[in-house]
Amino acid sequence: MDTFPLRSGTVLHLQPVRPAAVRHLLLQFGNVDMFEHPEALLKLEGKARGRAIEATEKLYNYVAGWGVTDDPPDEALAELEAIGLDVGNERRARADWLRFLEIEDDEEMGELIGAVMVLSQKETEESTEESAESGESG
Amino acid sequence: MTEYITKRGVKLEIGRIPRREIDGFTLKHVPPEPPVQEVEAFGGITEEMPILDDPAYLERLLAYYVKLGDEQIELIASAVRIVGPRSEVLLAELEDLRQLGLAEDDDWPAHLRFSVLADDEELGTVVGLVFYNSTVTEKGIAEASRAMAVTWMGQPVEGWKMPGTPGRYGQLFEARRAARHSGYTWEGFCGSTGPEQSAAVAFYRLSAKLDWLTSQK
Repeated sequence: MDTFPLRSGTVLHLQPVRPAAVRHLLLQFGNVDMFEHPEALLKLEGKARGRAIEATEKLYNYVAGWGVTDDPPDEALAELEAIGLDVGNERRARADWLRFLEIEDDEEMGELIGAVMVLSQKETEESTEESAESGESG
Repeated sequence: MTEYITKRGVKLEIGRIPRREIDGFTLKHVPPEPPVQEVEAFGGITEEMPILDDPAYLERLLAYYVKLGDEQIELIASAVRIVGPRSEVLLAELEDLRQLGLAEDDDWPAHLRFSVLADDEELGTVVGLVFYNSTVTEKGIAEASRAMAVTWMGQPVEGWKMPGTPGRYGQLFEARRAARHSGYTWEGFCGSTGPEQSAAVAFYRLSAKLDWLTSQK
């Protein structure tokens, strides 16, 4: 399992997520390149920009919900409840904890998303190599 | 119908989709062409050679495969269903997806993508099973060829090499010829199962090869 240190000092523990899910969310940007060139998002206008922002939110929710294994501490849950958020669902509470209380800015959010995607890609490549080797020997 | 148990222990029933939907999907998803360069061949004649490592082409190819893989799930989803009651773990995960705005309750392709199928390998397996049940596949052709057990001088006919010809054709053309060869209408052929369609193509290929081998004597 990989770790990801946030600027807040919290260290997150990451795990791979499903490549099919990430691909689907990237496609909702309308352009697969958008994630590799996030500065292009700033040049979008109107509905296209709205769509890309919505896609970023979904991608973040998926990565935070399934790619991070740490649970919010009790005091963080109390803070989230105090601002009116529902903490009944574990994955949603994790995403909200990181979004509202830990991650400093969009750049850090992008870095976290990128770290989980790289980890997932590495796992897929290793799994593909293992399948190829067992196919050769089998 | 085929039964398949996923890596997460979910029992699926895999059916088929109309062949025409697969043909339509294939027509809609044409892979990008690489750029070409003129190369001098033997005798001063120039030939066009594809540049397969062109960076822009590789980017377009990656984008093509990403989109193809994603839309394949939408294509095959109607042929896949869970057998028996859904596990508590699966139900909880579907609730999580709904809470995070990732999938609605009736979005079955999203459930397959985000929850039911464990990884790309499993996705490929399930897509392969749907295609096997629905259309001509090399797996289906190989099975039918083995079952027909046609040999020439003690060796399976399909192993004998025939000389190449200038003609080239794709799977759709070969399927249409095989259908006519076996006496199907095209509608009847498309309405039959994947293994039946594959058997017709296997019969057509073996017949053509056997006729050629016989003519060589």
